[in-house]
Amino acid sequence: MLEVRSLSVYFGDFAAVKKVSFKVSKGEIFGLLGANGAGKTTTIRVMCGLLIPTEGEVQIGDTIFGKNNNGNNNNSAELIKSRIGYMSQKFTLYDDLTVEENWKFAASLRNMNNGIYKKRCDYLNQWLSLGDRTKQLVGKLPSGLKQQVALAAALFHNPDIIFLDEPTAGVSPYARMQFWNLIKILASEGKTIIVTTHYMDEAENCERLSLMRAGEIIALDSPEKLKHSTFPHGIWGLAEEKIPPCLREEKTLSMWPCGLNYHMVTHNLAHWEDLKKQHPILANATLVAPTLEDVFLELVEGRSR
Amino acid sequence: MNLGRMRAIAFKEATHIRRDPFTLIMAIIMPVFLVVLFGLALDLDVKNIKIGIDDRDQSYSSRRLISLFHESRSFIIAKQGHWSDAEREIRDENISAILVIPHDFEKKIKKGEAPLIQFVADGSDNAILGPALSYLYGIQLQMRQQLIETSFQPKVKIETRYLYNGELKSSYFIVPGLMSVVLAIVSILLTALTISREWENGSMELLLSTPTNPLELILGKILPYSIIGMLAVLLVYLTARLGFDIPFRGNHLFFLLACFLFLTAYLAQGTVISIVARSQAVAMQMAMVSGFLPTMLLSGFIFSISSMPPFFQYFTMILPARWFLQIVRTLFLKEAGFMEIWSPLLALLLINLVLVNVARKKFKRTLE
Repeated sequence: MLEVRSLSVYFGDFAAVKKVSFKVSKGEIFGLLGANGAGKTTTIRVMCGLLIPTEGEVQIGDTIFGKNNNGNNNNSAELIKSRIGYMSQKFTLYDDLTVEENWKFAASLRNMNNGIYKKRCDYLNQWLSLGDRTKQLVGKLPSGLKQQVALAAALFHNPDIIFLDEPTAGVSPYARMQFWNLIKILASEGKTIIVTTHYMDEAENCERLSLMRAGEIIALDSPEKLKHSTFPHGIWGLAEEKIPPCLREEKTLSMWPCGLNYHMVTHNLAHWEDLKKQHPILANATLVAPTLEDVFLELVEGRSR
Repeated sequence: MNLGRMRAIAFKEATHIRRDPFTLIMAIIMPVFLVVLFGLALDLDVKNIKIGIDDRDQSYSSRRLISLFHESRSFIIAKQGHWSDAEREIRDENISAILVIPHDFEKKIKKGEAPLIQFVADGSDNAILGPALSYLYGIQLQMRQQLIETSFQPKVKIETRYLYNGELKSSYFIVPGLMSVVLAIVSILLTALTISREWENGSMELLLSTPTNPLELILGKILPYSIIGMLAVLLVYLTARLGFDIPFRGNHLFFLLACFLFLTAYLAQGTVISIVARSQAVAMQMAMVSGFLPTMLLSGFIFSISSMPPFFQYFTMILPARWFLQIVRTLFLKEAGFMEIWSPLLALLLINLVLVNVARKKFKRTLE
């Protein structure tokens, strides 16, 4: 469905994306996870035909988009744009237009006739919680509904692939939950979803995740496999106040705060046993199930030793 | 008043300015550039006023009179001949006035009588007419000193006749001229902000993610504003006709066509600015510098184009206002048809095509 091959994007000397490659299957929810500046948005923008890559290419179906076959030389970027739906990080609809006016405009840009527009409107409205607010100015809607309106605008032309760049940033937990329900419905209908997010609980909804750091993919797998491969021996949790200062200095142990506890991990079980002998308090540590946040802190934030 | 806080704000502002080269250029380089540019282009001394001479006397005195016009450097004798229809000649030959020397010019001088010459001038262009009249009176004085050698020294009488604006009403010059300046500024500002606004609020990203092509976007932006502009034209026209009692002697259809081409040219110029600037503040400044000043000073509204250095005379050819002003003055004050305005209409059409094409080329389909 979608393949990214050796994609690099340079802004001057700065490498925003370095040799990134991955494949996404039809109907998959694929997540790009990383800190700010990791290259997620740049990667999405190239996949949408909004940026021309410095190296490498993107293939969507039969259409290949890259440095040597961009919109200037042939129509590949335009072909890609006709097949995708894109919801950018920043809210990009018009605040001074009503919901309907925004949708009609989005549909018109895709040459949609009135009959199909109305059918799509009815179809999308059943999943949205807008009620009778479609005649309201978008600027007056709460941010959760605004995101739904923006998602719907990206879906009017019934695209095969939907790119969502941090779609729930600044949205309430309930609105986020509603939004993800929509995404799951879309995926169940065979739509391919590529999403970037900062929220680890949202990332759990992705079938596969690509963890990015400094423009590179450092891990790519399903959330469960990522947890398992990152922490093959599990994570030990201990209340923060019980950790002696000398243990905090222990360089062979990865350690980070998690709520009221500290999560600790070592890649060598024998070493853990040695540490327990040196610091008897570690006998109180309990094995906890790793979360994606732990994976993120270990891999993306660079706590790996 | 806390000096520390004020100093902190001043330092912060200075840092902004240092990191924004455009503001720095606008503040330091642009004033010098504009003063040099307009200082070179603008000259209150009108030169090279094209006139025709109808010498019906063909005498020594009449030739001396003609040579006075030659020597003045204010006038250029574009044509000499005998014309029964001065108005048609002025209109067709693109000259500003015709000097008619009567057949008894020398005879009257010899008799010690005051001879009468006729100066038939195009009253539709005040930028030329005002200075032309003052130079004419200068020549009148010279005539008295050089031609008339009798002790009586009668003054040569000049009968002036103004075509198209017999009473020399200033509103006849100013209102059509203002119409072009005002419409130009409004039009350029309308579109100068529209695409930069899309960049600023992020909606351009949405547009670029669709298969919309630059020409669709540019024409889509220009179209509604050109309709609004045409409504403004209608109101300005009614104000000119009913409020200022300006006559309209031309063809309304040509007038509408000229207004449409004029508006779309400035809307397209605003679009080019908007595409290049990407920020509303910069677009606004660029619109004022590239739209307001040249339209006001170089279109022929205030200063005569024929008196400008050759470079600027050519430069004015890319200004839609120059051509529009020519059309409006012709249509308002003269009974002109298509033949009198086809060349400025064509110029407006070409400017439109060039600007839309520049906008299309400058518009990038990506976020780079």
